[in-house]
Amino acid sequence: MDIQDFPIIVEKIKKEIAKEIIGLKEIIDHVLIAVIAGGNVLLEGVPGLGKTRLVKTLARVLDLNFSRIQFTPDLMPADVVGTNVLVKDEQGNSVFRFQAGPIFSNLVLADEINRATPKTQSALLEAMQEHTVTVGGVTRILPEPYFVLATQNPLEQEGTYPLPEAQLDRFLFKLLLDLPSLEELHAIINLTTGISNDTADKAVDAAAILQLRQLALQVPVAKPVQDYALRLVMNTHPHLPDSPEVARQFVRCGSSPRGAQAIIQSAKVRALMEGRYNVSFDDIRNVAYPSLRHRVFLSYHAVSEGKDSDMVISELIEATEE
Amino acid sequence: MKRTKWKHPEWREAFQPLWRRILLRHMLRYLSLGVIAALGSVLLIFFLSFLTPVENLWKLCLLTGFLITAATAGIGWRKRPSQYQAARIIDRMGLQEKAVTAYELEARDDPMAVLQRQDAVRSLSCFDKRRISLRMPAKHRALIITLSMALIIINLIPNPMDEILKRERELKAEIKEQLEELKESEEKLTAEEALTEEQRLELSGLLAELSEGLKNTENYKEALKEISAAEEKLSALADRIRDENIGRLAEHLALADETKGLAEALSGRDLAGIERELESLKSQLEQSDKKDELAKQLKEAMKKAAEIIKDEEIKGKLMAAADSLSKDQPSAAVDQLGDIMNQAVNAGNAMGDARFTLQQMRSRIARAAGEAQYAQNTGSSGQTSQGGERGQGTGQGESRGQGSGIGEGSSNESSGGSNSDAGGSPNGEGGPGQEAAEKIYEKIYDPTRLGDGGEITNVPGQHTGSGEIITEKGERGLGDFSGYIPYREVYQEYKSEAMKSMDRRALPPSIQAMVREYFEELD
Repeated sequence: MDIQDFPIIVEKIKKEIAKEIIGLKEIIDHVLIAVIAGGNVLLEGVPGLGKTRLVKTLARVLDLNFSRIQFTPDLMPADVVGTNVLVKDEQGNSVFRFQAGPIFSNLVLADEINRATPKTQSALLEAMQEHTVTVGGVTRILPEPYFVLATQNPLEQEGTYPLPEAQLDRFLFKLLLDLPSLEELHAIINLTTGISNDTADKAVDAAAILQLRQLALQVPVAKPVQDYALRLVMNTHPHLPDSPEVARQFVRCGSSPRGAQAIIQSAKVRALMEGRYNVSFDDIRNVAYPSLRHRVFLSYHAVSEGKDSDMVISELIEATEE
Repeated sequence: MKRTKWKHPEWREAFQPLWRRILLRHMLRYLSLGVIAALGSVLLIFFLSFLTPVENLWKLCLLTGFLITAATAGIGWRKRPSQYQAARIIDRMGLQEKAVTAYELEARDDPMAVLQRQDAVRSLSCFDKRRISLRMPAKHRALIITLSMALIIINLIPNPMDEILKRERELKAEIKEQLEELKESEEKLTAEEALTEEQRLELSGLLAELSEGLKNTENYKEALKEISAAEEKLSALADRIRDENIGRLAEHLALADETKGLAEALSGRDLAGIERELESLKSQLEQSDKKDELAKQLKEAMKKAAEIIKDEEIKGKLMAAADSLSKDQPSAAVDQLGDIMNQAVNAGNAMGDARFTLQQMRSRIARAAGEAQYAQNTGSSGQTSQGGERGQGTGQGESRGQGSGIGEGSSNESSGGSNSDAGGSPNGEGGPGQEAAEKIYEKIYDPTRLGDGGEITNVPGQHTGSGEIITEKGERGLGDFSGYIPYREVYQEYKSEAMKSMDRRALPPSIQAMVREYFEELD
């Protein structure tokens, strides 16, 4: 694959997705960035916004194995990763055989992830970070490309288990789904309540995605740009001597180095998607929101002031000079 | 991050013109900053020139402006943007960090670096150079216009310090002129026959010292102090010469009993006593029984005195008086002896020319300075408080100086301690004030000056009405004014005072001769 084909392929993917997903352009862009960068995505939005549909469409367009795990409080880790079951072999002997769980797919939809217990949630940790699963002392490699798209409902708090910071940090992006506009809603209704033959087709395959990922890794980042990204991450920490006032006031805990990795990694993909061969400040600023919003933990003061993560990140970006 | 070699010509061709333009813009901005700083400095200097006299104002302004502009341009050159900084500047104009990335990747030749460089070169080639504006920033323009306007306005306002500067220049020219005159006077004096070699050398040294001191003075006060000091030394020298002459003459006159009283009066510089003794001697020479013997003794004493007196004029007169006694003309001999006495008492007046020169010099410098001061105080009169007025005038000034008829010495401090004499009379108008106000003068008419009907003199002090008024009862003058006074008595008193004055005030010998001739005619 030629690097100049990168934006063309991405456009092709986006075009196919657009056949089944109305609106959500920025979300689709960011999901694609995360997929190509090899990161996991946490999608947050009220039910019915098309989260599951988006993931299904993506799996079809990318021609990836797809599995969906509906997280519930009684879901056990073995239900996710799989377990060793006693079976008879060909000779009639009883042997343990590993029954892979739904996590063994290229694309895993962890629906309403915050409904499962922390124990079950933690079953995803290794898979998300290492792309491996260890059951019964045996570590199994997950298929590549591998990524988890998790969804959570921000409204229902009863009976949920908020994701711990360590697990949140494993997500490359946290994307917030907004309500569609009236125009978009018209289109959604027309699409979903009628007969449509225009369904999304396969645009690329798993190998192509891995190639795209390799290409993205080669994109150079100029020193001032990288410096800017790192300073932005450092500025999220309220206790550092040079931290800006907004961080001191509104941030309880700043981003981990994974935040910086996420920014640079995803900015490279975005640059290529834009047809550029270098990362710009705009790329950094664009991916800073999804990369940092689940890594910056707001203080009570910020909550009392009605600030959300995006507001604080905006102020942090303003406070960070290029 | 400096780079001298370009590895990729296509990158150089695309980037270098933009870099040069950025350099040009940078330098132009610094230049405009320099102009602003220069204008600001010039404005400050102009403002200060209203508070204190500034010599060669325009030259100073031009020099300051040039130096500041050059310094700012120099700073600009030192802080000129490197290629790396230029790349960042271009990137900020919408190139999305292509230039800076290409700059960093210039050493690399891997496919991604090549692609990135090609992309950057493409973008730079399409970049409109005019976007790097060479126009002066609006703020700079506004500042330059404002400062220029302020400069024009401040130039239109009359500066009171100009007048002071003019006076100071005149003062310097005056001092220079006086120095030349002093040199001439020095040459004349050192050729004076009445002086011994030692005295000549001393006088010459004194005048040379004064000349050197005047050259190094920075203001009129120092100049006047130098002159006053020289005057004092000159006076001391004259006194010493006179003392020597009087001592020698008195020593020989004391040898004879008949002239012992005359010698004592001469030693005591008692002119009235000398007059009395001379009258007595005259009557003895005319009426005494031993007049011949007395005449002989006197003649011998005069001859002996003539032998040791260095002053040729006195020597001649002593010999003439001895001759008169030989010719039996006691009256003429006594008159000649009187002249000798006067001359002895007034000996040292060979310094008169020098003193006259010094007085004239001080007078002219003080006058020039007084006018300059007047101009200065006019300029800043609004800042002078009423309470600070000194209100103290000295009128005639110091004693040694007023005989010259110049009428100087009006500045009571400028001439040092020399004008503390009682010759002045307080005008009684102003109270004791602060020093700052002593420079304020008002012109008064002083009819008491010798020489003409009075001169305009600048006297420190102003009419304030707040000063202490001292009322004194007028006392009787030199004569007895209780009734009619005989002419001769008045005349003698007048003559005696005139002679005393000649002694006290340094009059040149030519003037002294005129005074003597006047009295001789009256006699």
